[in-house]
Formats: sequence, structure tokens, C-alpha cells
Amino acid sequence: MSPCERLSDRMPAVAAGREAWSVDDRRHLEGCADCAAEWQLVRAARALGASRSLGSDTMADTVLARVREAERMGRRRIVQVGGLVGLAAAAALAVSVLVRQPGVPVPAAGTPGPVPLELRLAELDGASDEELGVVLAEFDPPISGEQSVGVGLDALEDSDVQRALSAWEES
Amino acid sequence: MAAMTEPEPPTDQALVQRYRSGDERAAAELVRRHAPSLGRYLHGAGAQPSDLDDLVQESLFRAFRRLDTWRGEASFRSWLCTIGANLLRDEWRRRKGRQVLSLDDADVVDRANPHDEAAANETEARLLAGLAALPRLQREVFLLRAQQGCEYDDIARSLGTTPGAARVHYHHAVRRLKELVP
Repeated sequence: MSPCERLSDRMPAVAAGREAWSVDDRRHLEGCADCAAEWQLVRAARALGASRSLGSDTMADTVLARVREAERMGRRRIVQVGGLVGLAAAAALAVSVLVRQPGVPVPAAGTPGPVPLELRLAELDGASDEELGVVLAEFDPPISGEQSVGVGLDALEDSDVQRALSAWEES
Repeated sequence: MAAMTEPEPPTDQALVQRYRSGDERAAAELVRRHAPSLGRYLHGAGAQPSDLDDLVQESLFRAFRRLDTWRGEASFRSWLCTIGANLLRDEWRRRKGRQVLSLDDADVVDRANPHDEAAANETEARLLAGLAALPRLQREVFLLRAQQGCEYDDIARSLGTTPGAARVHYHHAVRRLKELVP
């Protein structure tokens, strides 16, 4: 490492008062225009804004008050979305129960399929895209993985039924 | 009798851990410790004096909101400065680069010796103008290194680059500033 590189590496620490120049360092600074110019820049950078009153005594109180408020708003939003998710889970179960009637024949190939069941959920009308995304993510894949028509209520897991019942109770 | 020594102040990492455990006094200490330096950094990065308090406050707010993303690889100081720099960049974009130079009394530093005062102001003004002319990464690396005293490893981690690249950016910035700030 050259003397210039060595001094350059130490300049911030010397400017901050953590280190000091040796006699040889000072001699080099006096004789090297490049190092002297860099040292001037580092000292000027160190002094930038030093005389201004930046940040107030109440800054910490203000910042922490904002953080607390933001966390409180976040918890409230989680409760609201959680309620929507529970409702959506119950609705999904209700849809499954309605369409999975035993004995319903599977449409033959080429024939038009059954009319899709539409279930309006007024509670979701006011939900934002983000909230709807959370709700959709809670929907389980079809139980059979292929056709859900023809699967009876008996095929549902006890946990699915319990979850739906809990959601109805909470909503 | 053994000499009484001052206890070492808690590290930033220790303060963050205490805050995560619910100790808000630790957060207040972090703010007191870093707000002035953050303000000077943003001042060097080109923030308007009238915006500094708001920028510092918003940077600290964002830092505390995403404290779980700070794992201590970069220093708290450099991580905070990076948040501030990104905020400043977003502010500039929002204002579409329209900077209003304020020359009111609030921008004039009050010191005892008017002559020294004028010289200091002139040096600061030239350096600020030179920094504004640098590419963003060179400016940030220079300020983190020369003003904040961060090591190259630390700068690299906070800016997502390598220590070698950080060193190159710094020396390019120094070379350019030597031309711009006589």
C-alpha cells in the first residue's frame, strides 16, 4: 500500500478524532498536494452541517408516537381482514356444500357444463384489492383436486367443518 | 481502592434488542445518538435545510417500522443513512427535481467571527455544489466514508455493493471533487 493510500484510509478516523497523524504522516501531507487536497475535502465533509441545529429534543418522542400509532393501525387492520377471511372461509364451505350434492351426474364431454354458482358477499364489496388478495389466499384448493361435483358432505374433514362453524360464530 | 470507570455505552445492537423487547428508552437513545448525524448526512446529500427535520423524522420512523430487517451486518448508522438517502431520492422524484434554493435567515449560520463565518459558508457551499454534481452512488459513498467515518465493508453492506467497489467509488468522488471544489 502506498503512503497516499495508507493516509487516505486513515483520513476519516483522524478527522473524527479517533486517530492522530504521526510525524511522518504530517510530513507527507505537507509535501503531497493530492493528499493535502483530499484531507481538506474530508475535513470539510466532516464539518458539513455541523453548526446547524438538526433534530429537536422532541424528535424521539415524535418518532415513537408515530411508530406506536402505526402499529395500532396495523393491528386493527389485521382484525378486520381476519374477520373477512373467516367469513370467506364460511362462504367457501357453504358453496362446497351447495354444489356437492350426491348423485349429481358429471356432464359428458362436449356438453355445456353447469351454470357457475354465484354467491354475493356484501361484506367483501368494500374490501380493497389487498384485502381481497388476503381473502383469496385463504381459499383451499378443491378437495378432490379435479371435480368437486359428486363429492358429498361426508367427504369434508372435521377440521373444515369446525373452522367454518368457528368463523360463523366470530362474524 | 480500584478506580471507578465509566461503563461502556450500550452498542446500537444492544439498544435495538432492548427496543425489540419493549424498552422504548432504548429507541429514544438511538434517536438521540443518530438523528444529528443523519441530518448532517442528508444536508450533504442535498436536502434543503427547511426539509431536514421532516426528513430525519421520517427516516427514523421508517427505520423503526422495519427494524426486523436490520440484522446488524451493516452498522445502524449506515443503514439509517441509506434509508434517508432513498427517502430523499423519492422526495426529489416527487418534486420532479424542482429545488427551491432558500436564502432566508435560517440558512445563515451564526458565528462569532464574520470573516471566518463567510469563509466557512463559502467552503460549505462549494462542497455542497460539488457533491450535487456527483453521481448518486459516489456522493453517498463519499459522505458515508468522509463525513460519517464508515468503513468500506460497512458501506458495501448498506449499499449492496462490494468493499472494493465502494473504495473505487470513493476515490472517483474524491478525484471529481478536487476538480469541482478548488
